[in-house]
Amino acid sequence: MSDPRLINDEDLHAYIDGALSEDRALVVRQALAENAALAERVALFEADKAMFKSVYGPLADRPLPAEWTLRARRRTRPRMSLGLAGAIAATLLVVAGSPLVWQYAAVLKGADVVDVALDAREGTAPKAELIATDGSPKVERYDTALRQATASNVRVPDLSRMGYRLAGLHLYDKAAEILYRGPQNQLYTLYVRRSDGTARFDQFARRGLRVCIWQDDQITTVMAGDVSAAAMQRLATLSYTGLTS
Amino acid sequence: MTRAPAFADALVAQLPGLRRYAMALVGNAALADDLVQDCIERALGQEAQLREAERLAGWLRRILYHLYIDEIRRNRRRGREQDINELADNLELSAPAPDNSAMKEFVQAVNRLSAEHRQILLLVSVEELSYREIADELEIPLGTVMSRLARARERLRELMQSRTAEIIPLPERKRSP
Repeated sequence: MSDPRLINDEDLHAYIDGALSEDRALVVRQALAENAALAERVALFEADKAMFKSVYGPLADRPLPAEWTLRARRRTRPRMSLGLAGAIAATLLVVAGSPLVWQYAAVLKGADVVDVALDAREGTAPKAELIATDGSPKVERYDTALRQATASNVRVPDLSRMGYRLAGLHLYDKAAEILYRGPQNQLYTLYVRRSDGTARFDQFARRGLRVCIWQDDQITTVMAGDVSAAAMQRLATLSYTGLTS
Repeated sequence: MTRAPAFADALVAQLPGLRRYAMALVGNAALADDLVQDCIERALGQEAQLREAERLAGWLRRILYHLYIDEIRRNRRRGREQDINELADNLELSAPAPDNSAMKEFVQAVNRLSAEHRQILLLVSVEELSYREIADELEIPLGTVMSRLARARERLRELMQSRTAEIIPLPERKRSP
């Protein structure tokens, strides 16, 4: 039978964390009183534990990105039961051959401004005009073209504070796409068109890109780039304020 | 349809603590924010899987930890060298400390621990969970909690005593700012 006075590492750490029974804690206390080296070792572990709390504890007091709260509370589609989903799938199978269905699907796809913006970025949307791709600082020219295309009082944002330079402006039917190049020449795009009047804000990943949609009652902006969520937050803020300033 | 307010409110209430956990676990503020955001998405999509509302915090931490491990696996072959001073510098801005150099050394040592060791130390020291709660959250036996915690603390002590500042690989997403 093992000697109950022997203390193993698990006992020591459970003692530090207040997880030992009173009887066992008494044994540890006696051992610490008799063994200065052991007491010093425990003191160091206790100091480390306190350091964790003092170093990392205050991180919970930092302000959170607003979109996290918005995302958690935003409206969402109701959950569909498996039975209902099955019934809808069966119905769709019956009518899937109808040209009307495909026409309607195309309209729905076209209605999603994020997909429209990403199509534009990928070059699959027909462009009306390319204003510039040389990065020359003719900002007034771009501003005018942007206002005309979007029929909105907006300006081309200056993102140089984040190391992004203007690289061009694509004009579409009632919309525009502003192109920027980042410090590593990565592409960041800002798709702008008039809003349908509703407010919307979200950030998510789509087609391998980080995407932010920021819509007020005047304009819709879709930002897209190969950037982190944190970088997108900063870029989106700078872009939106620059557009509307 | 509006999301059930009780779940949304409970989720929002957990976000400050979840972000703290992510930053301490990951040692990289940008990646931590990415993980929290992904965790929110995952939680919203898997809300029905949460059986006990009072275990929301642990459920979220578990999701986040798995996302982090996935991130490590994805990036193992192309791990980027991350300056371990980054988080320490970052922390100095928010946490008043009497001895910044001691704090920096501490953060450096924590960042050099394995994810598993960082996780258990954070759960007991920052989240202040009991051993039983940790065992439930990690789905491991109580004895494993105790032995893992003992090894983690010993390893941290070794690192603190070696006091060797060095560059270590931390996972980072492919995207660049």
